[in-house]
Amino acid sequence: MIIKSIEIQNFLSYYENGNKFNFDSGSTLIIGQNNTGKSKLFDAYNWVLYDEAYKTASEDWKPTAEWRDELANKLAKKECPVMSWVNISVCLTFEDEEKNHYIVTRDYRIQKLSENEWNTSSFSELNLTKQTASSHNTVTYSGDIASQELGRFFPKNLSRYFLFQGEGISKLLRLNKRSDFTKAISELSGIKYFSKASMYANKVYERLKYEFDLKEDGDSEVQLAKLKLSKEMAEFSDKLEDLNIKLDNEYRERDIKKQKLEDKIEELSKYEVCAKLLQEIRVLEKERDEKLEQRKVIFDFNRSNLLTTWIYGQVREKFHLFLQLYRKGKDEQKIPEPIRQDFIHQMLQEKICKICGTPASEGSAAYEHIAQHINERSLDKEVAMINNLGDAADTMNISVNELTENVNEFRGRLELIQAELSKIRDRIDYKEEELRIVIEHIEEEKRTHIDKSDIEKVNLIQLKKDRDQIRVDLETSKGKIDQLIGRKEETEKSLIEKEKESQLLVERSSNEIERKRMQLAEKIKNHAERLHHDFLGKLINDIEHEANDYFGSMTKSNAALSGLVRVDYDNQEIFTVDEQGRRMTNINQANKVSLQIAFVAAVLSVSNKIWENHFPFVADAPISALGGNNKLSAIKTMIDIFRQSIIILKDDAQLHSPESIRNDEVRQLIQKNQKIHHAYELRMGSNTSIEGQNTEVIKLK
Amino acid sequence: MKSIKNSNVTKEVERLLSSVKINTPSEFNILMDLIDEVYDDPKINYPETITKDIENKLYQWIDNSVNLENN
Repeated sequence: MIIKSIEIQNFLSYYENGNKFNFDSGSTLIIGQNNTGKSKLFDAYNWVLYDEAYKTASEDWKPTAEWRDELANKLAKKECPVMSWVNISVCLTFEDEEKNHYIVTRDYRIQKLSENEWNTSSFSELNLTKQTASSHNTVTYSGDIASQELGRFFPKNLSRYFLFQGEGISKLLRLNKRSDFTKAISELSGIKYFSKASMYANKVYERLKYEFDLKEDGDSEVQLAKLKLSKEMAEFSDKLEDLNIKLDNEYRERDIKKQKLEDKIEELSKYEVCAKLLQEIRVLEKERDEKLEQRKVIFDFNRSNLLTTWIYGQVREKFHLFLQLYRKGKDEQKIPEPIRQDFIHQMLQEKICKICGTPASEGSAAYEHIAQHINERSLDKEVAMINNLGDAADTMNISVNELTENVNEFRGRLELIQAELSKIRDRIDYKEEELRIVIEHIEEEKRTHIDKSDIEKVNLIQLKKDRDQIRVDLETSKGKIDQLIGRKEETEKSLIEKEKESQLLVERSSNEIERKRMQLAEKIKNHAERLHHDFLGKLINDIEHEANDYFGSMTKSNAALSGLVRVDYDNQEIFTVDEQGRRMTNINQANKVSLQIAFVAAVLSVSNKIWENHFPFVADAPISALGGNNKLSAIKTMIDIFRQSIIILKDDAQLHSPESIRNDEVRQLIQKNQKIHHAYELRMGSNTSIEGQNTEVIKLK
Repeated sequence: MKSIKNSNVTKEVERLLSSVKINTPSEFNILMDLIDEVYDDPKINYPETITKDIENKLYQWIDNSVNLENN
């Protein structure tokens, strides 16, 4: 089937209506930074199909009854008048393989009684409308019938595979009795029916055997042997049952320890990253301080020059203007050359104008004319001062020009240091940002506030010791499992021998009806067991085969990744082996994630083949555990593997980290890849900070 | 809840049980009847519980088959 659209109204971070995503076959990429509503979109799928959304606080999927008014968008709740209703709704449309169109709608209404009080019910309302492709007839189902009809297309037991949550991937690889995998395969190829049939056949066989054992045999010798054998077999059966319980418990313990180890390794790696970043920051801070010191030294050295240059810089324009004006005035003779007073007195004493040679006897006009200049004493001083100032200005200009050359050299050095300092500061900011993101991840996991100072106090040696201790515990657990398996095999062998003895004894029994009934029941039991076993074997084989194909295609372009997938259902493990068939240990993270995705894809692919009904692949952060280079190739693989994939990706491009997907590369992929028909970006709405999240949906393609 | 039979699965069941069908048709019939019942088992999604009614039916079929053979 193909999911055609999903429309979300007032559900968690999606405010009001109009939040619509269209899909088609091929791929849809949805990108968004942290807290923009990516996982809420994934929740919307789970809610509309199964009435559940992921509660981070309890780390589990919870139904509407446990969400109640928390399911509603906070802004919608705030804006709702008292005694009015908020309608929460998710509508999903899809087409089946015959192109029949389906509309699934889940609604939930809450009434505002007061600012903090809501009238809520435990149930949401589900409706499924089918429009037949050929006749366009429509039929609507609601409630349980709608849920049942929907289950035909989206079986709950397989949901963790086609509604794939990257962060919970390790759970999907567990193969124990209560795991998602067991649920998924029980949904596939009739396994759950054959398993159940086998259970009924076994039950009836036990009942008839009990009746056979209970009825005293006509042959006394047979009766005696029967009693003895029956007792022995019961002991072996009890022992086997006990061993199975112990084995189950030990498998569970092992899984818990495995998970603990994974968590510890993850935690340790995050703290190691933190420690590395802190160390790098410290080195950079030291470099920064050295540069600051260098800057200070050259500043001190050039302080007086700088000060002069600075002062000169402030008056330079006026100074030049003054010089200019003076020189101009002088050139235009607006300021006359000063006439020396002693020269005037001399001319008056000698009674002659020494400039033009005119006699100037006392009382003559020439005498009076010369005498007039006696009043020009003050001008003489001013002019002299101006001349001095002009000379001083010229000298100063020359000195300052020399100084400027020195200052320019200083400036060059300063700019260099400044640039280096700026680079170091940028690197510190970048490392601080990286550290902040890693701390944020740790905070998310630990659900507590963590400071940089807390990180500095973390004892890596102790963490490593804890990790090693868990490793030892895990190995001990594996050892116990091997031991239990050995004892189980031994007991099974003994039981088989006793069963053979019993069969021979049954042949000799004179209670014909009871004997025949028990023998027939045993045959039915064996047929049912074989049917279950053969189907399961084929299924596991098919999954392993498909997983290998996918794993091969994912790893062929990367020399660092290799191996063959093995699905060991009996020992409840999925792992990779090398070319010689040896189990690969300590595989790198990229290999591990590739293995996980290949396995999930294989389960879905086998499901598709059996049901002839292609499941869409809706994935939330499917590659969160992968490194940068491998992320993009993993996205491309997912696009290629599934007929329809809706991939929700974390846009961590702002980190500028080699581990993040490069934003431009993803955007190029969106634009260029022909299989990507739709793409959306999620952003935080403008009023997000005031009233909680408010997702904005932006169409990219 | 009535489960939907998958045609690919049914084909595979017939293939796997073909020898039983030929050699011991009565056993084959009982087994197929049992599988049919299981498809309608209300407890199908509870792997560790059974429906007494189905158990009794199987018991009865076996009993009837033996009685029929003896008569």
